[in-house]
Amino acid sequence: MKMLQATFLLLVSGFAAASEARPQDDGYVEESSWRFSLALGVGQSSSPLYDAANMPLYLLPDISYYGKVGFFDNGTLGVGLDLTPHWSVSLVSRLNPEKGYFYRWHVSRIPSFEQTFSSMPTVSMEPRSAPQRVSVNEVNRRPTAWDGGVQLNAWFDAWTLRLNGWTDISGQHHGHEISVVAGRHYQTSLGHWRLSGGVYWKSENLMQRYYGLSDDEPSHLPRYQPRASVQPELELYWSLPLSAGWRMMAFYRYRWLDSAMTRSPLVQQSYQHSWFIGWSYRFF
Amino acid sequence: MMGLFAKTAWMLLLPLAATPTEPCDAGLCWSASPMLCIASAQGERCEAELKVVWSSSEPIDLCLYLAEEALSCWQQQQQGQWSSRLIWPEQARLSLRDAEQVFLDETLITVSRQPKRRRRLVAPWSVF
Repeated sequence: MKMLQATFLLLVSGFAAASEARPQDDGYVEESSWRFSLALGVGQSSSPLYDAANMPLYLLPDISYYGKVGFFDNGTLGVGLDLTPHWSVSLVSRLNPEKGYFYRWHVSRIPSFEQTFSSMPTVSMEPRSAPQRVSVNEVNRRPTAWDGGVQLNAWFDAWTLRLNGWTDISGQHHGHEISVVAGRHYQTSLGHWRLSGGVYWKSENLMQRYYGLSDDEPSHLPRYQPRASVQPELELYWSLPLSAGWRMMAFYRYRWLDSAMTRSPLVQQSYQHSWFIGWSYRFF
Repeated sequence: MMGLFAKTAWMLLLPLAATPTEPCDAGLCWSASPMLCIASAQGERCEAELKVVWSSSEPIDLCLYLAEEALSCWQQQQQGQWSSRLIWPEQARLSLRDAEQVFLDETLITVSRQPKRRRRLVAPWSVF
């Protein structure tokens, strides 16, 4: 509770400091230059799995480089081509994020975090009832996979659209993922807001490799063969410029997990969410 | 038309020589300015007045070229002057020469005050 109170006070102080006109977050970056920001604050990215640690978010980097064609943006490496002022297409690659839910560390089991988390009124922490629960500690390690794919971006006034098609190019799961995310930006006196909603489709192969339980798992565990999964997501992002380098920022992201996922004995919760509130400073 | 150019032309006057007395080569002295036009953003057109002045100790036939296109020619003159407002090239060769010899050989370039910007393709902080 003290953490929430402190956060509220920090927010108020941030609003007070942001009385002058500040640079806007217009979605553009300078070509051929690195961009690096660090955000300091509190937050958490949950894991929906039994015995997998939620990832605490204290210090978040934001690093990107956009050349004339190629770019690197927070783990996504790609080459992009502007088709028109409103559309661009890119070839992209990334580390598949699915393994992130299988972290076995326990640093997030910090009492203050759990208290803060459980005191949020809109989030239920009740575990899903499952016929049999299987801990991530009991199953074989899930692979680190590298994805390649195509990305289509579109911009229309305050609207953005992003479509991705990914496939496993590392031969780890032979699966695919397709996503479409639409966002709306709002520039107000209370800062810059972005509300976005998307849908993620994950193929049966991908689901089987990460959330299935096949015959190569220890024999005492149940078996589970998932089908493809459809996962809707909503996100609200906010930032308030305080000076040329400093911003206050926050985001909340909620993803619904469908029955292909929640029927897995590994899965405890029918959602995955991330939240963060803090300050960011842009170094360059 | 005025509005078209209002946001584009930022001039940096960098004369190569204050008077036609220098630099001199084979009895001919010249000046050309500016050599640089600064646009407000990369890719935007830049307009500026280019002025070329030359003088020679003897009467001479000369032509002034920009990107190999003749801007002006003089026959048996000891001095000449040319000026005009131009849409500045991104990069082009400016030369003053006769049939045998090149007296002035410089490059006009356009630079921008701001680096080119492009759309960000991944939402910030979305990896978390």
